[in-house]
Amino acid sequence: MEIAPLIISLVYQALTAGAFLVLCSIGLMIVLGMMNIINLAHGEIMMIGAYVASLLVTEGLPFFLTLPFCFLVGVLVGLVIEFLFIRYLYSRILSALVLTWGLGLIIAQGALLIYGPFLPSIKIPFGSIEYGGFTYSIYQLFLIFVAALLVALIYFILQKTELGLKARATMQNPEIASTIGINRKKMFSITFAFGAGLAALAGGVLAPTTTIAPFMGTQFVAPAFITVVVGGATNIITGTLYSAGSLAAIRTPIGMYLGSFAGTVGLFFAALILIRLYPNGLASIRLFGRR
Amino acid sequence: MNQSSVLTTQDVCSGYGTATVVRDISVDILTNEIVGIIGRNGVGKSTFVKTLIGLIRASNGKVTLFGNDITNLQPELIARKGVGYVPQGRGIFPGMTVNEHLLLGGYLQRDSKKRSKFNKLIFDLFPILHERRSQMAGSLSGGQQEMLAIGRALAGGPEILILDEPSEGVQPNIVGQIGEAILNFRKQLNLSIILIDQNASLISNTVDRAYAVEKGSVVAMLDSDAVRDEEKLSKVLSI
Ligand SMILES: Nc1ncnc2c1ncn2[C@@H]1O[C@H](COP(=O)(O)OP(=O)(O)OP(=O)(O)O)[C@@H](O)[C@H]1O
Ligand SMILES: [Mg+2]
Repeated sequence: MEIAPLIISLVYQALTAGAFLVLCSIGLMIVLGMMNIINLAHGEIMMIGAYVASLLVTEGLPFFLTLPFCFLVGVLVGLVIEFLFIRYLYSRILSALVLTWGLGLIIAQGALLIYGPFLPSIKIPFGSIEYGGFTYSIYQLFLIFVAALLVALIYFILQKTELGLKARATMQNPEIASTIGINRKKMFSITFAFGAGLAALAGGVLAPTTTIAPFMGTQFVAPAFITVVVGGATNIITGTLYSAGSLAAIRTPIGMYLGSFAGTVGLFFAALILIRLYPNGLASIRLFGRR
Repeated sequence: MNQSSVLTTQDVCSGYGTATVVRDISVDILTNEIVGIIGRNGVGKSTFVKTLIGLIRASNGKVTLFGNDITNLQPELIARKGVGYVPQGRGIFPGMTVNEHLLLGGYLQRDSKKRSKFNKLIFDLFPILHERRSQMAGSLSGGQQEMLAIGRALAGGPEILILDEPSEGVQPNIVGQIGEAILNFRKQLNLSIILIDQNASLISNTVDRAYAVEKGSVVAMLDSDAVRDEEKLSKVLSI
């Protein structure tokens, strides 16, 4: 067996696994990192994204055109949840946790009542290519691209735009932010809605890879939380990247040689060890000196 | 001199929960004036100014800015009307750079020419901020953080600036520098300033007059002669 195709295949699988973790966790990370709210309805908001995609595809819309709607519906859902509940629960982490857990149950049960146990699944777009004896799904390559694009976009918004600077200031000290003219309530609701939009968008892009059902969110929530906890919420971008990167790098070779169940077990063990070594999250490691 | 009122309070009361801390404080700050608010620890100086800027609710009384009632408005609205605030303890955002702080403060001014004019002024007043402009604020020294907090407030182009204990935890020679900067930007920007501090020399070198506060109430007004008398000041500050 040649070595180059094997390495390429390993890298592809690691990137695929990493992209999956990034997509699952990015919305959760924003809401936790910026607002200190653990959103247990995160998986259900991803489910809503997948539902929007499936329902619109059934209506005849091309899959890729459904994605903006996934994001928008997520934003709307986020705005409503923030307006009705979350805004009364800032700085009450446990209440927010219980509340979002309950909301998640209601959303999933609601989907079951309204749409039944399944929605039509979405055919994976594109085909696959073969190289050196390995098969590569083009859609998985697209997911890697989307994950990278989202991370870059969020980095740009947080670091370079007025909205991003104001959101970061609000996260660090809401009271002081308000004394320099920043409307903290508005910042909180925008941030929560943005996190929900990202979750629903992620649910939408992942929809073709999975079964679309009311409780599909659960499969995303565990990896999302592991990524967030390992990464730590001190820096959204580096936390997500380090965490998704290292977890994927550990999971992939184990999965390749011992099967995907062993890979998942390896992922959990790696998470345990990383949390033990870096209790404040990988984002607390300073690679580049300052920050 | 024909000075008009910039900020006025009438019988303002406020506190925490059911505990009243500030009792019936009435002050009047005129244009281009630096007014001290002095008194020992815990008499309610910070609570009073937080009430002015909307961080704490006034349970009674009235706050006006240029004759308009601003009592209990949201802090961001009061800031947008031209009240700048430099909090006790500086209140910088540790994970943001010096430049980002000045940008954030500057968003209160929509005119980008004005913004760059203010940025230049701030860097002239505090050259160290220019030197450290891409450094994280959390890694600045106490004195540098104080300058940054002042710069952030100035960047918004306020009509009146409230400084809460700028000398606290700052080296004596830096306190002198901050005092000079205060006089300097008052002159250049025609600002009114409220200065809370317990450092007698900073107060006597900068303020035009001062209100002495005890147990949440104003007990005396020190005129320009009285505030130059450091001995008298020390008494008010340490009884
Ligand atoms: N967040 C708070 N909750 C309850 N009580 C408070 C709070 N902050 C201050 N106090 C109380 O209010 C009173 C006045 O405090 P304040 O901070 O206004 O005093 P100060 O004059 O600014 O003092 P210092 O010179 O020490 O800054 C004190 O008795 C203080 O214990
Ligand atoms: Mg104080």
